[in-house]
Amino acid sequence: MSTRKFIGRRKFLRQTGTALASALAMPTFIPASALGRAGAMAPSERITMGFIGVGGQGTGHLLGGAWTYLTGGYTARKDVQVLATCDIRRERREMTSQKVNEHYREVYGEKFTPCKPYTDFREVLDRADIDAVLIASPAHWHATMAVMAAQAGKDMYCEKPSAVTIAESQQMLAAIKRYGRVYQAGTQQRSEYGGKFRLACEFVRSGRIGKLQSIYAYRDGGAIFWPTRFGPGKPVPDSLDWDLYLGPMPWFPYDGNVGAHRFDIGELNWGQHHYDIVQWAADADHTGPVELFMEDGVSCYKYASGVVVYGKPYPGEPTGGDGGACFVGTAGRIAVDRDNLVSDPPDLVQDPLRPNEVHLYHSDSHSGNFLRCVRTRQPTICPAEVAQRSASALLLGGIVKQLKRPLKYDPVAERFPDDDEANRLLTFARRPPWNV
Amino acid sequence: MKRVFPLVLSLLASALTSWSAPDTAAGDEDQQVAILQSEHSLAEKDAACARLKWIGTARCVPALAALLTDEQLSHSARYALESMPGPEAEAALLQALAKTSGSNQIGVINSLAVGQDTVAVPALGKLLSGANTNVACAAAMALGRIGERQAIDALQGAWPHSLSGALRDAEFDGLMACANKLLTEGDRTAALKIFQSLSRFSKTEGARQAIFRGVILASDRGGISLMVQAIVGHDPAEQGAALQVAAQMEGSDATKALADLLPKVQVPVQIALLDCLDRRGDPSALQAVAKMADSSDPDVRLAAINALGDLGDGSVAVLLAGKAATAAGQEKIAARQALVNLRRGEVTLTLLKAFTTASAAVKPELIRALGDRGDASAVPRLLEMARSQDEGMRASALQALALLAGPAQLPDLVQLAVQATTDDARSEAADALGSTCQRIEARSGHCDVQALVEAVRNGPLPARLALLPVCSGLAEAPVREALRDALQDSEARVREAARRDVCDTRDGELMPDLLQLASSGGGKTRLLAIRGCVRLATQEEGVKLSNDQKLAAFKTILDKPLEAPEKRLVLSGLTPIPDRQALELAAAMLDDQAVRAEAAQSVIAIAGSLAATQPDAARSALTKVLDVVNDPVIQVTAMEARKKIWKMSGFVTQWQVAGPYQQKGKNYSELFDIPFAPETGESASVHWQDLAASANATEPWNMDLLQALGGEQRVAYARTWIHSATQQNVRMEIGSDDGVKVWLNDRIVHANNVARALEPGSDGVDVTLKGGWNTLLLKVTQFNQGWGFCVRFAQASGEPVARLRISSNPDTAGR
Repeated sequence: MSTRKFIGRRKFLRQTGTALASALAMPTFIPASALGRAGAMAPSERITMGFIGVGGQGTGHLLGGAWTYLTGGYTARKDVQVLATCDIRRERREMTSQKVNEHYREVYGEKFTPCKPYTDFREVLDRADIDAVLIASPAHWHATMAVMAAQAGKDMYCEKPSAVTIAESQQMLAAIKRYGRVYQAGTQQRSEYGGKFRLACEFVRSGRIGKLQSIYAYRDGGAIFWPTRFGPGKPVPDSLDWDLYLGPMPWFPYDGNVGAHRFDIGELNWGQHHYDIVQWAADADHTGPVELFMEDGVSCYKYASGVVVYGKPYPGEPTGGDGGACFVGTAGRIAVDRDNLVSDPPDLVQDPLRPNEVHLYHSDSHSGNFLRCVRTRQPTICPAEVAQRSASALLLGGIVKQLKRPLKYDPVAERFPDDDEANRLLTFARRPPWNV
Repeated sequence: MKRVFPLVLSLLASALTSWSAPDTAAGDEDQQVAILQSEHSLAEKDAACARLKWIGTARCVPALAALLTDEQLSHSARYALESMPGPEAEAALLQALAKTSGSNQIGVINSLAVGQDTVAVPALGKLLSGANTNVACAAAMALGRIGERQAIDALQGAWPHSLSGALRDAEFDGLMACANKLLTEGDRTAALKIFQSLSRFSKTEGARQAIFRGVILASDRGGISLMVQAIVGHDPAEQGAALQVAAQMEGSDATKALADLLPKVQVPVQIALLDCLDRRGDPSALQAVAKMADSSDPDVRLAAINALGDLGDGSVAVLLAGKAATAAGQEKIAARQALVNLRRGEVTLTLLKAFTTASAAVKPELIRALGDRGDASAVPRLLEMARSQDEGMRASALQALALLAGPAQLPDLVQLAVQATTDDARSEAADALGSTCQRIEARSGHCDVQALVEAVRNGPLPARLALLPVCSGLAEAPVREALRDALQDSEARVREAARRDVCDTRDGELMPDLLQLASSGGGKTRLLAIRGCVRLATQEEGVKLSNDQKLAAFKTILDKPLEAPEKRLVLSGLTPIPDRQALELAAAMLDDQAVRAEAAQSVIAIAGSLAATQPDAARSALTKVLDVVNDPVIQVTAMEARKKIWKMSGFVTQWQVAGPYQQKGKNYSELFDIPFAPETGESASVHWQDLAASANATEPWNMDLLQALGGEQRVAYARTWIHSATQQNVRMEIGSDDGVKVWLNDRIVHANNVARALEPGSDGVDVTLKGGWNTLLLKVTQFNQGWGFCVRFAQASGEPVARLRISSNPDTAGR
């Protein structure tokens, strides 16, 4: 997507503010109170949401917490009504729905539609009164649930990784497009952390470090592995739906582990944060690498632009490890993570971004951006197109790590040309009936 | 450092093993086939399938195909077949359609969909009308993924006869996928037919929105009309779809249609349309958008101004400058940004020309825009304006020049200061010059200061006084000399200005001059000079002084009697220096009642930075703080700092290491209980070598085996000796990555077979040290990534154990 296009949205979203954010989406018959100008928002105008997966991450989004970006989470927002929490663990779904209801009772008295707990996310998707879902399930479920949410006509926020195979990511994107849904990936660094990541990308794309030559991504690729299927099992607790936990993964006896990332290899959990920023800065949101190779035991990439991405830290540079990257150009380098934005020479990041430099899509609140776009039907700051590519970058790294040899990749066809061995790793057979 | 998921590690290990490409692929494949065709266990057959995912060829297809009907192994077989190149795998899956049922059949259907092979279409089509709804649903979705003409026919033949909700949804999804594929391929007519056939039977809002989106995109020119009707209509699903595609619809007639709607729709839709027009980037909407900039609704005006920046040309520059001058808040900010964004036409020329007719309020905005746009072609005209007697115009022009002027304009800017007739004009010109010089110096590392220095040395007195502050912001040799000469100037006002400017300097080379002022200057100058020294030493990023150089400077200052405010400044400079001398200088000031509190805070901070490298000195200085300072807050802080030092210190860092030891087929966990020479007493065969202590000051405890030995799935042994003056009970605090087994005096005192990251004190075990030398032996396992350990001894209270001696030299320890 062109910079110019982004500039338009950025300014629009930044400068119209909260009141306008609500106003934009409104069909013509929506009363002025719904524009936010009158203060209160009628229950019928709130975006109704279901939360699928309420473990640490999902509960953080729902109720707030130490790591979250919004005090009180989505529950505390006046423009949202949470109608469902869903988890394969009984205690989680019941605790969260109870807390949501307690909050609403405190704020609205007894006049509110209660939040209900669900075990099976399909029942949440079946509810016609739910506009959007937040998917914070285990990683192996993300793309499947995103596809099914789109089929059910729901807009969605979906945690990273957006998919666990390239093929799955493509199906996710196709479904979002097919159903015209609003999608936001859980790559909050584009919105949060005081705008450090956006500013770093703007500086890089404005040429402050000269011509971008290489990027140190601090983490390398990730993948998913085929688990050992047969062995002794344990009794499944009454409070747990083990089959629904496994979902598209092969069935095997319950072993006590229902972790969100138990099938991860490498950096599948965190990698997309890094590669999202790598691709944003490299102006590669809608493409991917053309070559992959290993160096010092980590996956590395080369883009058609000539930029080389290393899945490791920049030597001696501590900034970058926490979700960030170090960008090296002909005239200096810039490193960014959740705590720091630094450069060498130091003044590269000291001058404020000039008006005539590259300005990227601006969002100061990831959740705010998602809800605005649900109303306006405009693309979010991390739409499915971008998420599919950043997930792919991560997963391609996982493939080259497994094959341990240089690979050529066609980012248009999204295949490895004349390389059957590598192409085998683009898919992962799914357990019926789950399909994308 | 690895993440800790102990329960998946064994699974992961087997998965990793299966990833390794064999040297003899064909032999390996035959071996896996043999496993599949024998009486091996389910687990072994599953592992063989997983291996064949990587290496399988047509040779293994029959063996895998035979498993597709197996309740337990069908999924494993598909894992290998689904992505296997060549027609054999596809044919096997296709044949299995007729042999499977229920879940296995659905799995086979899903795998066929991945291949998108049209050969499967007839068989899949038949399944649409089968008795098993779940199978029919899978077939419908698979046909959608394949998306060829035959697949469409099959789906359309079934639609809308299916009464089952689930099957209708699946067929709907399949047909939607086909229609969208046709859209992507450019066959709008065929796509439209499908969308229209779906629209008659779809009632949910989500489905209607998806269909309507498709109908608009597939309807060619008619799509624009549909989009327009939907935008002005009252159906939320259609309106949402229309607004979503409004930015995508191609052609200037679509732009025109959307622009024409602007005055006809209500405010919220106006705003959405303005955003769509902005995203379309078609300048033919410019005039319609410009009209919206005068809307009575502030949000509409704002959206219009934003769009003008992207769509506009020189023709709207004056309009935007007017908005920037007269609007307030976000509208003003947006107008200024829009002026910068203008890319079409002769914008710079228009902005410059507008000066002749623009009002006094608008002119500064025009100049500001020129500066913000970074267009250097405007510089000559801006220089003319900077010479104007109009104060507003002059100030704005100088602000723009501060952003635009280059090296060639430096003499002009100097002359503006020299020739200025008022103090304000001189000051503004000097500010513009200073900003320009610093910008040039920051970007190119050097600035030509000849004109500046000439004016500072020989210009009229008012100009010299105005330009001396410019010198303080530069680190150029001629400027440095000019400042030094100015310190000796015959004119008192010049000397005074020079002293102030030396105190403000960014030039590290002027540190001696500052120290001189700090020593010899009086009163205010002395304080300013000390402040300048502290700033240069600790805050100026362009000044690279070593800690020794910084400390030498502070010692020079401290050699003279200082007042309390001066000592406080020095303390502020010492505080960020992680050096023992800094600690001692700060601790010495604890004796001065007037600055005791500040000295204590400085000592606490420096001690914290020395916790890892100089724990004894840090602890001693903190003890002094606790002895002399009564403030309870400082007392608590100092005690906390002392505790933190203990957390970082006391670790045994003298070790010898032997290994690595491995055994074929055994992973780190299994190796834990396999004895190797260091624990079996076969000492003659063991090669012990010294293990380097951590070079990482933030992890002084980390005995890094990965760096020393490297690798995965192995173990190593580490040994050392501890001398205790008497027999005593102590607590051994152990951290390890991964598992650890501990022998004290040849007796196992601790064992933890685990995969984890290194964390000091992960394990604790109470042990008895005998009087004299004690032998300590550790066995540490390695799964992957990080590999290391740490050990220290503590009293039951958690305090350090006094008077322990450590030696990794067996001779010293009498062995």
